[in-house]
Amino acid sequence: MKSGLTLRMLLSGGALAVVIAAVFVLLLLAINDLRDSARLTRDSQQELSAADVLEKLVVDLETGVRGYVITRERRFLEPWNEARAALPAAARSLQRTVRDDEGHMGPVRQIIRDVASYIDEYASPLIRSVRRADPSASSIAVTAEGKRRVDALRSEFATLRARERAAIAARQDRADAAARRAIALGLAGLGGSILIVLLFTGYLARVIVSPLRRAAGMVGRLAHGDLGARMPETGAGEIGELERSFNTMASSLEVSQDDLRRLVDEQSALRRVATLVAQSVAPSETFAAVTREVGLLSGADLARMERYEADGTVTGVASWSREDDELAVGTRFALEGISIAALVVETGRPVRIDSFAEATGPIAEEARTLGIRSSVGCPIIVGGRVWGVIAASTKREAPFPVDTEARIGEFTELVATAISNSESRAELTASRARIVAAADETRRRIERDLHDGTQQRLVSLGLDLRLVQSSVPSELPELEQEIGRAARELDEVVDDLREISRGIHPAILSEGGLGPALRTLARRAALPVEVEVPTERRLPAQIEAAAYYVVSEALTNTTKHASASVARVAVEDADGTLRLSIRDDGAGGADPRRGSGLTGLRDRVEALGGAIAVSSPAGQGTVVVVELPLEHDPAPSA
Amino acid sequence: MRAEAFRCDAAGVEFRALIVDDNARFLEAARSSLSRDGIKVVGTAMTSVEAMRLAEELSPNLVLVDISLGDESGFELVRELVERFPELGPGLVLISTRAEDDFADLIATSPAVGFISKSQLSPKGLRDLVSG
Repeated sequence: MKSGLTLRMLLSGGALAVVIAAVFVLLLLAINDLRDSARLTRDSQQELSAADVLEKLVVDLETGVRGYVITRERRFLEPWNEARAALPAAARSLQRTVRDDEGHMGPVRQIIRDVASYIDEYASPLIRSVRRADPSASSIAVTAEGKRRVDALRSEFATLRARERAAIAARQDRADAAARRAIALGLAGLGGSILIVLLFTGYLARVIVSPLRRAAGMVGRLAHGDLGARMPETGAGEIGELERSFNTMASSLEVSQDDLRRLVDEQSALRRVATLVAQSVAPSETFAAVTREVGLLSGADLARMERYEADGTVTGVASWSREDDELAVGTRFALEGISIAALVVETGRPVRIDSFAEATGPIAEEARTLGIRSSVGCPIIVGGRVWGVIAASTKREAPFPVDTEARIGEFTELVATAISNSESRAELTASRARIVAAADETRRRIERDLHDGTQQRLVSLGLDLRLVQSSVPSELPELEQEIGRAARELDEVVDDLREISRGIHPAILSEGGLGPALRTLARRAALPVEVEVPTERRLPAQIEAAAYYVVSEALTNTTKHASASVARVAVEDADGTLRLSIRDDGAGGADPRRGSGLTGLRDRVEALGGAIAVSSPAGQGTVVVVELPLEHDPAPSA
Repeated sequence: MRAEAFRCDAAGVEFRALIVDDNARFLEAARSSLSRDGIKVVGTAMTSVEAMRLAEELSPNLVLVDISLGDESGFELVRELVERFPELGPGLVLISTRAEDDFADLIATSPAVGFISKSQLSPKGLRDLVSG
């Protein structure tokens, strides 16, 4: 199929031209033959007519001579004279018509000689003897002699004509045969040409038109997005070239499209993960999403994310499998033997292992059990240290493409950001919690110190004073009254101090827990408060404090602003969450963002990982709902 | 038996008081104050363990228990005392420098007969509480 179509076209065209040219040459030759034949026939006819003229002149000579001999009148010699005058020209004319024909030259010359002989040896002497009035001139013998000579001449003329006519007939036969041959040849040439043209057309249709039509169809499919369209590369010459080029183009388009799709997939996956990171979802959720995306994008069979622990082990934090293989998450592995995790933490760079066949250690063991052929892994670097690793593994023979590490690397940065964010958030939360807890502890201690020290001493002093007062002799009533006044003032101081202490920290909270503390709050409130605390179990001090201060603040607001007739405090302790609600039947319309002490409590609640919500539609009372997780762990969950 | 004895107390029969408080200064003041007015303070204790021991040894008929016993709870001690010495119930009084309504809820559920603020501590108040 290497030969070009051009050569084939040239060969085909050449063959056609040769056939047509041959036919035309043969036709031309035939035509030439016919023309030669026609010319010869014309010559023959000229010869015949020249012979006729000459023969007539001979007859005229004879007639003139015969008339003169019989009549002896001169006027009968006029035809003779005329014939004699015309004779040389007629003889030359006849000779000229046969000058190319050697065969006829002899007889013609013979005739001319015989005519001359007739004139010179017979007619002229006869005329002279008549003139001389010779009587023998009229004799039978002389007349017979003249007749014999003329008959001989006429016989010669007849022979010449017969020969000429035979030649004409023969030539005519030859010309007819040649014409028939030419016609047959022309028809054969025409048929051959038509056949060649038809064959050539068919060949063109098969070799060019049909493949071109197929190519047009394929191009159409390609244009409509069917990049899998391919042509059989069977075409000859340039068509084959075209088919190969088309297939190359389609393959290249397909590759480009695959690349593009891969890029789009990768960008989409990155965007999804980035969105998760931006939404600050739980790190475990981000880990699972990233591991899945990495697995899918790298075409892996398994993907896992592991975290390096301080004790030199790794913990699986997320895993993904194309075929639901069981992968350990949450369990620890020792970093023994060869593994992606070991190599990554050792080098701090992306690594790959193209075969686990010779590797030892528990991780390599697991890899072999799962049928893993090769793996690639990238470090997750958080704050300059290798926090963990994302590894993708395949069960296929072929290792991962060279750009796999780079593509996974894009995700590790997002993961690092997520972890860093999460750690920062956790640190912030923990720090807020610590600050709140420290403040609470300080207040508890101050209250305790006041109680154990100052208050006790003042109370004791009061008792002493009253003892002294009762010991004053009745003769000194003023002194007794003075001491009594001092004792009462001291009582007031103790009351004031008690009030201050209570504001610093409610002793009942430490002493009795949330239920008694809230009921005490309710009792002391300026409006009726219904308290519903189904649980009496003690909760973490910071939870109790937060709940207490929220209720205290809410009730203070209700008293100050709501014009409410009753408030209800409800506490629920379910599903690891302490949920409290404070609702009143007041005016509502409270703006939680402005002027409310609840805003200050938001920090306290959020420091514990909780949430506070205030709903205060005008005319429908105010509801404050707080949720506090009881098992809040401010450290990152993974 | 006990009810009869208290009626006698009201008429002048002696109280045998045990004061439980972790503050020595107060114990001293209280002892002086109560003794001055005819209530015999047979003992003082600063911890729950000591209180239980003295309650058994001295058979008091009036026990003043500070609600805030350092790291221990006066409420808890009252429950233990009533459990060990049921006859002590009517003579168990909670005391505190804090106000009664600070602990109202707990005082109400406590087996103690009542509460008296330390600054208001007086034999008359105690007699009213115990006999009322």
